[in-house]
Order: sequence, then structure tokens, then C-alpha cells
Amino acid sequence: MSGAAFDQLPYEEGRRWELVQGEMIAVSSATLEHQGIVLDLGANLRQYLRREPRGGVALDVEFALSDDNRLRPDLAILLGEHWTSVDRKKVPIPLAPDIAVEVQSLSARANDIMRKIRTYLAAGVQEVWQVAPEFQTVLIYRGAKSITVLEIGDSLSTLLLPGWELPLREIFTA
Amino acid sequence: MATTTTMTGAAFDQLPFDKFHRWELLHGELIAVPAKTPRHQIIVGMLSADLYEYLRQNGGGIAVWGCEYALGEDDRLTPDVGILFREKWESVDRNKTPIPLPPDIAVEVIDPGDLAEYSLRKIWTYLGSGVKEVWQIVPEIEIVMIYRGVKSVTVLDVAESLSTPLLPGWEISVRQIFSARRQP
Repeated sequence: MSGAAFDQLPYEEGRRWELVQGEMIAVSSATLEHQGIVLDLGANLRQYLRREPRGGVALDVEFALSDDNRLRPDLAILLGEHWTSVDRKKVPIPLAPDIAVEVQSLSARANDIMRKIRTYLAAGVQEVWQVAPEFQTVLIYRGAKSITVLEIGDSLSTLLLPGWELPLREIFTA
Repeated sequence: MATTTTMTGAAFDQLPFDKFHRWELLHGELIAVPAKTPRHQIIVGMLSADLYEYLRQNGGGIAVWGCEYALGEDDRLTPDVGILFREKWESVDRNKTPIPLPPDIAVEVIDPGDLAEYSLRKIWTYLGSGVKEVWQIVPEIEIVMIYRGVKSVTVLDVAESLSTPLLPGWEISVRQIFSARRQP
């Protein structure tokens, strides 16, 4: 369906949906582990962005990335004007976040994840962080051709958030 | 969340052949392998044939599809295509399964039923056991990802060609991989 039709769907309590290239994708309910990681990482980013007012972090908010894409990253970071210009009382947010974070659930299909990552990048998202708890790995996508793999001994950081850094060990012991 | 069954590689090797399901063992966890789509099989068939022919002509080894490898005590994986260079190929018993060593190159074609978590873990398991390159082929978005180590990922799109220093002179365009038998 189109993004406009998707926006008119009634809120459905038992299920969450995303729209990827016009195709409805059911999002499974999150596990405690998943939500623990999202909350900890989100809180850590929020603290940093309060100290360094470069933008804001959003948890589980829907973005209208284009006509037929409506995605809800687990965490989204909006920087600078993106953050200051956005209407905080409206959803979906009509622009692409600067960073999108997806914490992978055990039931996620490889195809869906890859299509989402590609959709984010094509919409102008500068970095996608794919967090794989089962494997304690974070993959950073900085464009269709650039993937950085972080393992448990590494730290997550980015030029987009100067001075921010978080050891993976802290993410995965949440 | 899916329930998990765990067992050792030795116990896995004793399982009866199961006609309707294929299983893999990943770190002791039993994983059902979904039935393949036609598109998956066409890509595997075409790529296997191309690699088989290349390796036959230069005597460099073998490309086989659907063979199981014992990669460690608790790992039994069946890459869509496994490439064994001559030295390894000459050392294996061709009448036995699982093959008791890692392939030099493992190729995995992602199917709609494949879970993201397992796909990642499989790649790491291959690399950890000594596989030199893992090629992950993603028909859904028409890319090929080459893993040459846990930290080294190369992404190829349809405008590029798949090649590797491990197979000198062999090359196939990514477009060709994904356009195989698109029309009847």
C-alpha cells in the first residue's frame, strides 16, 4: 500500500507494522533483552545529547522516509536542524533520522533487516547501527558499501557524536 | 521466541535422515533449514556450475553444493556451495559425510525464510573455523557481501563483478548472478 493509506490505518493494539517499499511487515513483540538494550543505549545517548546539545534521541518513533516507507527504528537520533525543526507532537516524522538503530530480534528475517538498512541509507540516514544481541556484535553501515563490524572487545563511537563512546560489553550486559 | 534444542556434533551425526527437513547444528543448537525457493536454487545451480567448470579446467579443486561440513565439535553447517581447493579436496573421503574440515570458500544464498541472527552467526562460525571467504548472496536487494574476516566486509552491487584472489582469473558479474533464468 501507499504511505498515505498506511498513515490512515487504525492503531492496532496487538501488532506493530512497518511499511517497507509499500509492503507491510509485521514487527514482533520485543523481548526483555531487546528492550533492555534499547533503553540502556537510549538513556546513554540521551545523557550525552543533554550534555552536548547537538540533537535528540527518539525511542520507537515512526518515520515517513518516502512515499511508501514507514519505519520505526528502535532508536533514532536527529541532529541539528532535523531535531529543532521537527514537530514533536506529530507522527510520522516527515524526515529521515541521522542515525537509526535496529536491535535485531531472534525472529527477524535476514531479508527484512537488509531491506530496512538499505531503505534507511537511501532515505538519507547517515548511519545505521545493527545491534545483534545473540552474537554480541554491532554492524555500522555508513552507506551501501561501508560496513564496520564491532565485536565485544570494541567500543561503539561515531564522528556524528564527538566524544560519545560506549563499550559493546556495556551494551550487551544490559 | 523459538524453542531451542541443543546437542553435540557426535549426537547430530547419528540423527536419522529426515526427508522433509534439513537441519544444521550451530554451536550445539539445532536449526531447521527452510525449504528453498526456486530463485535460490537457480542461483546456487548456476554459480556451482560456473565454479565447478572453472576449477575442473584449472585443476584447482572442487565446488560442491549441499554438502555438510563438521566445522567443530558443535557445528555442522551445509553451505549452499562449498569450495575445496585441491589440497583439501584430495585429502577428503568422497564417500563420507560430514566432510571433516572447513571449505576454503563458503557461499550462502539468503532465502526469505532465513533469520538474520543465524545468518550472521553462520558467517562468524565459518570464519572462526578457518574458511577463508564467505560469500553471502542476497537476492532480495541484489547484493553480494564478501566476508574475508570478521572485520572485513566488501559489498558488491549489480554494477560490479564477483572475483577473489583465491580463484585467479575467475569472475562473474553480480548482475549475471541475479538475472539467471529470470525469464523462462
